[in-house]
Amino acid sequence: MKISLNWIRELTPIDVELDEFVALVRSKVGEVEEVIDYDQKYRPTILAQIKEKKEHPEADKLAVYMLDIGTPEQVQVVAGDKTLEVGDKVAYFPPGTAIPYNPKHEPGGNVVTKVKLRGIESNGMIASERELDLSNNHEQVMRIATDMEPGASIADVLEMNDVAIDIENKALANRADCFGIIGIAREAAGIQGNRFATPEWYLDPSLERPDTRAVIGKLPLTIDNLADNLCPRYMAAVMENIAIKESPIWLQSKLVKSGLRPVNNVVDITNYIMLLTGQPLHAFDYDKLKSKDPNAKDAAHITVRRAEAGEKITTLDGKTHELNENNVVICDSAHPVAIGGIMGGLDTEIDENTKNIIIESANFEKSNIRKSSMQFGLFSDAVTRFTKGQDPKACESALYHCIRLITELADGAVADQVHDIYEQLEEPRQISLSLARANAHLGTTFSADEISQMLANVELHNKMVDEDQMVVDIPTYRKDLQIREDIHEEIGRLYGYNNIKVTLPARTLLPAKRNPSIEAQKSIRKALTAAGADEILTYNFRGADDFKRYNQELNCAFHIKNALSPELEYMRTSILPSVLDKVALNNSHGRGHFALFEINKSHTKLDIDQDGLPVEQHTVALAVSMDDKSSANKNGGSPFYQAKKYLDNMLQQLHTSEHTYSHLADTQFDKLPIWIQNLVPLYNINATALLTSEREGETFYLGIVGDLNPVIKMQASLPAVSSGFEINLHELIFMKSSGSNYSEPSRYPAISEDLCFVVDIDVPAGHIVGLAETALESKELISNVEVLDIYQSEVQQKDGVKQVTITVSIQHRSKTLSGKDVAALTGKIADKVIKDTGGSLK
Amino acid sequence: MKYSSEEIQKVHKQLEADGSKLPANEIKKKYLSKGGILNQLLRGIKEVAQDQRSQFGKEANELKRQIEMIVDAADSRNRAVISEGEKIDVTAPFDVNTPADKRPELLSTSGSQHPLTKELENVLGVFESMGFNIEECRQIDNDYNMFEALNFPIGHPARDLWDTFWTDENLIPPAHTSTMQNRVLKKYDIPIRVVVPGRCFRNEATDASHEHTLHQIEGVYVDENISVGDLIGTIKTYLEAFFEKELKIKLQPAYFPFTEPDMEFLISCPFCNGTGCSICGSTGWIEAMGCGMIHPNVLEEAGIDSKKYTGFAWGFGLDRLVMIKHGIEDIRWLHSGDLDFIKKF
Repeated sequence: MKISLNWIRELTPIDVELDEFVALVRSKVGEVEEVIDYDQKYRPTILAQIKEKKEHPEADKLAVYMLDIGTPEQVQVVAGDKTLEVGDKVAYFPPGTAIPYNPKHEPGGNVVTKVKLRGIESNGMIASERELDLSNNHEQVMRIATDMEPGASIADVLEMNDVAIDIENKALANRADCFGIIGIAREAAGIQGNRFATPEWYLDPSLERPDTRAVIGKLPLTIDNLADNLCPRYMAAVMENIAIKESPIWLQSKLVKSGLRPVNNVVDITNYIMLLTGQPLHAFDYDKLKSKDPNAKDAAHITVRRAEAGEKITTLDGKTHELNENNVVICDSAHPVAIGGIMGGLDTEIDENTKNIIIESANFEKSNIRKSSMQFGLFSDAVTRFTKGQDPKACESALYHCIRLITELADGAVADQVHDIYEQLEEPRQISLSLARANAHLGTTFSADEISQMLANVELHNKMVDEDQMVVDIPTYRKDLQIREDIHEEIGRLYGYNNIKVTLPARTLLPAKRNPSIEAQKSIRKALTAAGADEILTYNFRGADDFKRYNQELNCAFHIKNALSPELEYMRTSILPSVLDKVALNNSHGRGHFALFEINKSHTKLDIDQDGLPVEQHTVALAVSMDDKSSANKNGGSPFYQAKKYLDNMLQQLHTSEHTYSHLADTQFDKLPIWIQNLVPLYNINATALLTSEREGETFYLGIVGDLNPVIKMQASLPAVSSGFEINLHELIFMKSSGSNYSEPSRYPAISEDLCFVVDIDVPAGHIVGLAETALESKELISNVEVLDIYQSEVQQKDGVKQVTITVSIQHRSKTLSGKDVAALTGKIADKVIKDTGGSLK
Repeated sequence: MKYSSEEIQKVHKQLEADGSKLPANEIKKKYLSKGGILNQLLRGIKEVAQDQRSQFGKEANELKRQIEMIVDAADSRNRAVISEGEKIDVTAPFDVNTPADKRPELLSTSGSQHPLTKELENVLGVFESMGFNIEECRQIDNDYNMFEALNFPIGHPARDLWDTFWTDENLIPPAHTSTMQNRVLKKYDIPIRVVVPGRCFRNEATDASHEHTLHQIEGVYVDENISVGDLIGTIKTYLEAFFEKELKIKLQPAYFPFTEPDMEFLISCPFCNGTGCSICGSTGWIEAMGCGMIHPNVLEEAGIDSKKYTGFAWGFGLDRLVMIKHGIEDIRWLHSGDLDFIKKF
């Protein structure tokens, strides 16, 4: 919101330099986004008077003017506007002036130079309103009605010798009062430690209340307010014999500096009152309203009501909107003529022929205005103000002040009684305050006097009821002040938070508890990055196409009803597909062999907790990929083992307890947790394992690891050698052993032996390892068993067998193992394996 | 798959687009029928230079095989389960008959941690050292936690300031980590010292400096006699520990429905020490976070006696911190998953 500092000065002094004032506003009111120096913008432009007018000898469409610019020598300029007359006053850009109109914010702007136009020298330019950045009018040179002498700066002539500050609206979101100059001026006084006094006419409407006794019924108006609480107050006045014309310079200047464009005196005055008080007003053309009303006879009629579904209105911006029951409309007896509190209708617009007007000063309920404004995409200055919650009390003084100005500046006269419809108006409230509490809350040591003054400066009048208790009167325009903490804020803010003594809480020495999930994630990241995998983050939002590409069920994904685009319309049900998308991306960038992982959360509609919220599956997903080149001529076997290598490594680094790999193809899918079921279509199930662990006799599912489904690989542009896993973080945390895995090392040498078994093709190698480990289980022994080789000759393939070679390393805790000892132990292993699997030792 | 022939590459691209849109029979018709795209492509072999024809033929066949696979896959899309090859031994560390030098190996160079999670670990480390517990944020929440419990009744205009996404069920991918505040206040015993890291979502069009997916860290502190001075001191202490230097601070009033008083916390730019640089936009100051004293309604809603206890809360974004720390100019890199980016960390 742009605030003219000169306008502030009309209400309260600014005692400090600009920089300091801006710093005060920033630290005590809200962020200042821009400081606009209008003086600098308009200072070089000069008031000139036409002294002589000549035809251009070479061009019909140009005229040559001699200008008095306050210097002894007159200046010759060529202009396209041939309608100027001797004596007219205009704005003159001497060569070297930057033209104020600079919509693209080009540095330095467009600079006027001395030129020859069709052979005639033009020493500068005379300006249109658009070139002066005052309005969009570019048809004519701007005529300036002023008594000032040629040579004066336009900054002074047009009252642009001013600076405006643009305060961020967001910081004032709960300060309806600050959307008017009076409110901001009150703040300006308060932050400088000055006492503010609101103009009398604002506080006491009776001071400007027009005497309507003699004019009642001249231009009759009747009003019904059927909108109840959506329109808590509706005031309107009829004025006749309006002379529509341009507003005086002081008024136009104020609008321009506030970021508004002048239109005509009536519209400008309503805007001026809005800028001054924060109370939006609207003017209707009385005769248009009456003549378009099919039921009107002698009187014009206004009804405030909810719209009927399907009603339409074309607003002042030329756009047509379809209305429904949630919108408040201002109507004649039949049709909407304005969307209440949002924008007026085109049909009853004030134009140059308007003679009689209705001025509306009403209050509309803020959340309804917000909803309707969003529905139509209409964000007017009135919407900005009404959505903050304006004070219905302000309707009256704003209307009377408007009537006074229209009388003065548009020759109008009141032509009926002033209508005022309301049920009940809020009365001023009081808030009680404990000064000790306020000081404790702020960390300050203010005396009662200091607090009393700070509050009184912004017209929060107060009195002490005892040593500690203060009662503060809350004006109705301060809707943000509801509880005593709001007054604490007022004190802290006006004093300046920056002046509060910085302290640290007096605290106990309770240490933070480690969060197991955060700790597990740290360990996983450490383990996986050490193993060469790169961590990525991807969006939760996916498109329907993404689900299709990974053959995933879309119906169980949460749908975002106000998504940014169709690609971001659903919440993902698994992490792995997002990771695989990035595998495809990086593969296409020529990365040969790489692994990516993400730790994140996914959701499905099929897994809802007791609060109606989806259970959040926190998982780690990893994919490992080798392009054709990296895997060329490599008889590396199923890609499954690539992903499993990463998973085994991760589990080992996390020191997890016992877990089991079982064949996904042997699993009944519908017994699996939903989030795992959602992952099944991604895999080639002949080369995929389900990872489980047992706890207190129950099976827990950690996730699945495997080779990816060949169709998915194709659909998602993944290399043939790509595999992955997705593992549940929560289950991993349960599996992390809490204690230490330490066992005292032995001082005696370890003996290694290889054992080769011929077993049935279906006997898992892991099973043989497990049997060997069981065989070696002893408090006296430290052992390690690994698979050394798995081999199958063509003959063995036909016979349905394979050979598995394991290597066993054994150490005794208290002696050196003899050959005999080792032979006994390997014999025990062999017996166990042969007995269990029916295989043989090779 | 990359094709050397431009024509084939073009058809491949078209296929990729169609593959996700058209039903299988349409694709079959469009590509594999007599007058279909593939046959047209094959007829074009006459235009191909003699020495490239064999390559062209090979690639065209490869493409044809792909199309057939898509059609087959699409035909059986409802049969979600797909198996290929023999059932393997999932307990083994490598496949049968894999020579020792071809067995799966971990990559020999180490990988990179994402800069956001790395920074998050740093931030959380500082807070843990200050005695803060950590509570993770939800990624889908309800209106109650996102708004109502935070003193934003239904219809409150300030709800707009949060640019929220909504699911069909009126659940919310939270727009701020404060969505956890009510839970944290209920779960922990006083004195409460908790930080909440989490992913947040804003309905905001993406460009170089705007993202719909963001990371925030919320802090909550509740005890007896907690003051604005304590709020300022605690945040300053954290920021100085994080940036490992002394900082000047500045506060500006702000408005959040769930705090009172509320403010914006600014610090002297740690990169130029307040002299003005590109990171702070030559102002010498950086907006570090929004913060304030927890609104009594928020405390009461969580069952905490607001007459006895006071507290403060804050929330700050991690993404911008990471960007300015590393000089990342386009926020979209963070979620790009592009190794060209990730490998720089």
